[in-house]
Amino acid sequence: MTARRLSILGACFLGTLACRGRKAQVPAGSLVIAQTPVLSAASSNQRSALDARIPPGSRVILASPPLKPEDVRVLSEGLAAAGEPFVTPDGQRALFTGKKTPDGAWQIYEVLLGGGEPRALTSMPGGAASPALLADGSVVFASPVRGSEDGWFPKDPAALWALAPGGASPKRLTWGTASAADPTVLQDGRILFVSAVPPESSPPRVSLFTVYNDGTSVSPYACQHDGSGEIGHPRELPDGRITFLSRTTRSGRGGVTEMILPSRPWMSRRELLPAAVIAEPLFDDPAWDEAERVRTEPRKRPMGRISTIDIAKKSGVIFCIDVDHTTYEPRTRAARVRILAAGGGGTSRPLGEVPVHEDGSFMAEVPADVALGFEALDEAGRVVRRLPPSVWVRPGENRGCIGCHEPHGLAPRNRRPLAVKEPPVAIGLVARTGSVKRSSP
Amino acid sequence: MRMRGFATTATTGILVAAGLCAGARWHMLKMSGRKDLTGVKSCQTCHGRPRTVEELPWAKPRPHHASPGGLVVSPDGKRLFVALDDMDEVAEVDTVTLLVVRRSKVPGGPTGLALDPAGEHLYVTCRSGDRVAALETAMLKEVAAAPVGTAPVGIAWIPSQGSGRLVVANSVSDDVTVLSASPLASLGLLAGGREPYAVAASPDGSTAVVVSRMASLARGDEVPAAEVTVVDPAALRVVSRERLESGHLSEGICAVPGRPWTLSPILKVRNLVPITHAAQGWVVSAGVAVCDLSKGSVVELPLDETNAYFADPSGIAVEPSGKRAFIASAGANVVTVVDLARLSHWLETADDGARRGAIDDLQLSPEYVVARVPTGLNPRQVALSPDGRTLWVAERLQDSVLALDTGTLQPIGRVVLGDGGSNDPIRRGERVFARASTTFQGQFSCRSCHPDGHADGLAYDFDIDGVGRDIVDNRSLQGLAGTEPFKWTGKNPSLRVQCGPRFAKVLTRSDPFGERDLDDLDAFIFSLPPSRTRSSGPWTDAQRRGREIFFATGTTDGREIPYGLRCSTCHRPPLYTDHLPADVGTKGRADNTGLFDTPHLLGIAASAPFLHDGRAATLEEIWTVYNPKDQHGVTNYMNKIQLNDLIEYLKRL
Amino acid sequence: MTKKSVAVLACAAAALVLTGPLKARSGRPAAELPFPLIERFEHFGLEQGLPAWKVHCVLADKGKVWVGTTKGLAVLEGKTFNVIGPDQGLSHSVVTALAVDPATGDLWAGTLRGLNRISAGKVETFTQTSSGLPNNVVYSVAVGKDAVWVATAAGVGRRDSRTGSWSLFDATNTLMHEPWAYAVTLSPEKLYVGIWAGGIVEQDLARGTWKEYRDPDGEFELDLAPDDGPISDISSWATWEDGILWQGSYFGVARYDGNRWKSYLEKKSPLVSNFVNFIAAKGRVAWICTDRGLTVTDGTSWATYKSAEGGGGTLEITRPGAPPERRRTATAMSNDFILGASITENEVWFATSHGLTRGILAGRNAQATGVRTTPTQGASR
Repeated sequence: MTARRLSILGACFLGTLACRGRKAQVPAGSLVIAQTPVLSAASSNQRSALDARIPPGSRVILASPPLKPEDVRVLSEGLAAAGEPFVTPDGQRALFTGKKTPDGAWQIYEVLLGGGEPRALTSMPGGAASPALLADGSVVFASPVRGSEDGWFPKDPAALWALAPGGASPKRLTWGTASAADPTVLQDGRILFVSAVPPESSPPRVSLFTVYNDGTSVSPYACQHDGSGEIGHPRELPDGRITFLSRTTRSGRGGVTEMILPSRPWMSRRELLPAAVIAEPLFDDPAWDEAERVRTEPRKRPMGRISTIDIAKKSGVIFCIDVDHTTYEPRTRAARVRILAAGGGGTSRPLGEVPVHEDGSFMAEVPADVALGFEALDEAGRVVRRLPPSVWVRPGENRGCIGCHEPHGLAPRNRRPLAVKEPPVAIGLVARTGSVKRSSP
Repeated sequence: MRMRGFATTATTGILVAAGLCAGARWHMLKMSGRKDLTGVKSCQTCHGRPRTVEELPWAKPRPHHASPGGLVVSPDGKRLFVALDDMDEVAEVDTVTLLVVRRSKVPGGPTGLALDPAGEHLYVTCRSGDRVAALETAMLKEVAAAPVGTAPVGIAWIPSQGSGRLVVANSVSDDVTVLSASPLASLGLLAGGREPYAVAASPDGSTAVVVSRMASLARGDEVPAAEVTVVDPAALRVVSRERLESGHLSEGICAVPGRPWTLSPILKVRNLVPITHAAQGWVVSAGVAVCDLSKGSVVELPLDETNAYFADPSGIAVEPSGKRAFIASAGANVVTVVDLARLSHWLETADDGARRGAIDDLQLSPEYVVARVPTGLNPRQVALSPDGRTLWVAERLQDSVLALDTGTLQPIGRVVLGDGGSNDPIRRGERVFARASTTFQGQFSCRSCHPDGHADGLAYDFDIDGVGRDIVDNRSLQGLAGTEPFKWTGKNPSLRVQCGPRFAKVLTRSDPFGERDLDDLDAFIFSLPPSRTRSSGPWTDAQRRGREIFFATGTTDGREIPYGLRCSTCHRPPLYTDHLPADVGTKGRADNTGLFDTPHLLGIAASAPFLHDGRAATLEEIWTVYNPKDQHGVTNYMNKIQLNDLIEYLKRL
Repeated sequence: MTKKSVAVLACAAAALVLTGPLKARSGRPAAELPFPLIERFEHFGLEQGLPAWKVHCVLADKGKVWVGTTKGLAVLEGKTFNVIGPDQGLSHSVVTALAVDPATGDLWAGTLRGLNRISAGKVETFTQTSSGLPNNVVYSVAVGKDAVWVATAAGVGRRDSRTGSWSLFDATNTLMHEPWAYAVTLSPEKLYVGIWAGGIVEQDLARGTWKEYRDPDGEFELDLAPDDGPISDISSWATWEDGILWQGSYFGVARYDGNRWKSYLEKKSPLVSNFVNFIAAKGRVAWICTDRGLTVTDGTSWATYKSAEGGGGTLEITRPGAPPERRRTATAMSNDFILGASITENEVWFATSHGLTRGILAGRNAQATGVRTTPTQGASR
């Protein structure tokens, strides 16, 4: 699928190598700043929310002490618009989202802070945005760029991708039915991103999720049950707190800076008081609005992680310790679980059913890289709990769950699920003959 | 002519090679008695191993470090006593100048400390000497000693009956010794939990509470539990035993003034859950067990947070006012401060279900954790000054004791006891071993499952072999040097492979150890001698008879035991392993293979449970239950007396 | 089993002997009786919370009464019976033998499948497959200063209390004629083992040497030469206390004071039955539990309790040189087939084949158990 849609810049590999080869010095205290013109003309073609946020003429600059507006270097030289800057932990490079022409596609660019021209790293159909860097040097970004009218559940949702250093092609990480946006890499190595809870009701609840660097173990992180409206641009502060912008409208500008404590993410969402905002060096250019500023001091590299997926496989395993462990009322006991796969246009199709053991556990081998949903069924086959297609397993991934809509922030109880004593029930796996193999036990 | 010469040479070469191959196969068959060793490609597999234990790293001299352990402060608050087990010393520190004013030699690995109420006598457990020494504090001289159980660790003064009594936790013999303080003499020996470790006086001072470091052996899918043993030292009775469900690595316990509670830091193990990831406390999480002695109830509460973990909680102290508890997280280099009034409030307002599930609620700890104070490396034991104003923290792996102002929670200073040992690869390796920061979110350290390099006695399900497949017993790292290969499948030819990227991928879910860390880990792990067992002293008749059986070539009724089915063939001295995998008929439903590494037997008695998945709770069961077809050696000819003799011998190794 | 309540008994023995004259109902002085009489029996069965009617053994210790039944180990503490069975970790439901370690208070319980240590509620099991226990069928347990001894269907086992190591003794390494050991009992210096078809064997604990006592006449069922040694090679029980070894058999009772043996038979003494299940001793007095009632004796004075037809029971007292004195008693054992007994200061507990019986000693202020007991009637087995 990706091969069909992608054409990759051949220069990407060489460009990355070139960037890594040079060690340019950036003065201490330098800032990378995203600027938009104060009197920017509204884009004639605001195809995406990104077009609204980064209007034509927007640029990314490097400002060094003494931080004079007249003494800056434009990092996005030659581009029609640029924003969303990211400085690599070594303080040597900046990544940003940019486009060459006002009507062109957003892509990810890289530039050495020490000097040089920006290079496009991606050539993603539909564009790419919001770059960040994983511990191994891979660039993670979202693609395609969400259209202004797309909403969170478009036909072709945005996903997160990772482009390895020198990698030939980006690898898709997320497979949800909701778009994934604004990735940032936490110090523990996970990718924190914005997505939406499947639309059981309208509007969808926009919240924060995490996924490992190989796309495994997608999990809710915060905001699933508090606040409302759009959120975006999550960032991890040096003290571990997570900040993000919340907006009650879709205007794309302004908004409120909120924060959550990592110690209790679902219980601590609140507005980040101005006094708590990290004091930034003074830089003000009356001709430009500052959209974002990023420090260039080298910082600790996030924790890495060795991927557990086996790309040669077509399936993964998912087990649940107790499907009846839930916050849903009534807690009707489930006898079976129907597993669904996302279909086109927000639809889903059943892959098969798996029995629930006496202790509430089940285990199934399921197709990889497809959004999966789950319906807990009672003895009579009635749906008692439902999770629309929203989670996935990567090839060879073993995914463990504690319950079905269980409370957030739980560690598992120490007991061996009965289900893991038997081989996983194969659900919806296509055998070599093309027929569905063991769809239901 | 030249062609002819070449042909002759080639033919000769082929014949020689064939002969060597045939000879090698004959040799392997002769030495192992097995025809299934087609996987052995190198002479190095069996040869090139240490021929004597004296060649092994653990048998050689190594640097010793201050490594502060037990702490106690004099009643007047002027002196701090520090147990330096690795140096066989006890140090006396001036609490104002933070200088060591005196050191006293106390042979036998001084570990736990207790003072009498007047501060005139310091009682010291000697872990390797199996004794308790009494020192006069005036001169810091040993004036009396008494034997106790094997490997005593914790000790507490219990103000019961006249001159008071001492209660000692014997970590290897799994029992508790009660002594009279004057004269220092053993009065009784009571059964403890598994590896009794820390002792404290109960809140009212009438009883002693002893916490065991290990969870009791659990069969199959049973939930393991550590134990708080409540001892009446006057009556010499165990009053009650409280279960710390899935509790493990409890290295501290203390009473709470004004409340009928004891607090014990625990690691909550989740060994029964397939390890599909490390996040969310999926493998272990840190907590504190609140044992209400008035109700006989235990509530386990988390110390971790949803996205931050504080591994290996160890020492604990409670303010004299009973307001706050200080818990040293040895793997996280942090002291966690717990507000006990807030904790109590939560307990009072929570329902039974919330209390039962509290330990799994990773959002709960901010209810009562009020501060995290950074410390030096590997904070293990803590002690409070009598006025509660100073907290002393033993930073074991940097040879110092940190003094913290409990009001400001700021450091006052450090007692420097040694140079930290940074030039010693063994010490550096222990630091790597003990630090949790190399695990995803700092969830656990090597030490979490291998305290002292030993094993936790639990079996785990690593998902790399398939969820629910290949459940394996945790193996001790003690006495490991020279016993390659490693892992139950014997797939890892070296520790570097064992602890390298594969380990990071399967368990720590993080960056692998760096090259230097791996070197240092090698040095540390290989420096660990075999586990201590209860067996000591002169050889008994049963042990001698057992040795005959171990090396027997025939059964008692005169049948020859095939070479490959003799104990000593596979468990070949000096390390009692032939370094080869063997199928001893133990392949279970969940196993992907029946071939398992032949474990070494040094200190084997301390490594229960046994066999690859820990199915044998005792050595006896290896042969009485799991060797029906004599595949694990010809043993079924033995009567019970002979089997007991064999086991007595094994306990001696 | 033979050492039940050793600690209590040792302390109380002298006091019992010196108790002073007991007043018989007739008002006649009974000073010559060296043991107290039971003035009343109470019964405990299913209604009171006992898990089974059949009670194999009983042990009263420091306010608790441990009761070994066919359906688990019941403990009467206060007003209720709590049951420890296989669900609580006991190795088997049929509990056959009980002994308390006086040094620790831990209870040792033998079952038909292994030995158990119950310590402050925790059950630790030892079976023939999981430990050095000789055999799972445990008939008797005795706790010494440094070891626990068990008599099993395949010899005697000794578990060292300090090291946990087991030593086994059977026909292959001792003088035991048979491995089937029914009883173990300890004196300070010696171990005595009652062997089925093997008489009594004795181990000198210090030296480890063995000595065998066999019935010289070689007849199991007959005592051809009285007082020549053990009553029979068929030992069903053995109890040592206060210098006296009592041997029970299915063919009578023998008493050994270290020098001489003395035989007692149903037809030649007031012994109620030759079929002896158990002997509890306190001081120099034996409480002999048989298939047809209880006989209490020091070898010279005798008292026998039996059920009476029509309810109640009988007490027959035989004093030296005096004719037997028979009395009717309002209450009796719940069943005359008595399998065990445990003596405390004020009461004696009996394990019978149909319930647990409490015998309240005359003149003692036995505290009520608080359990509402079944009205006592003599019962036939």
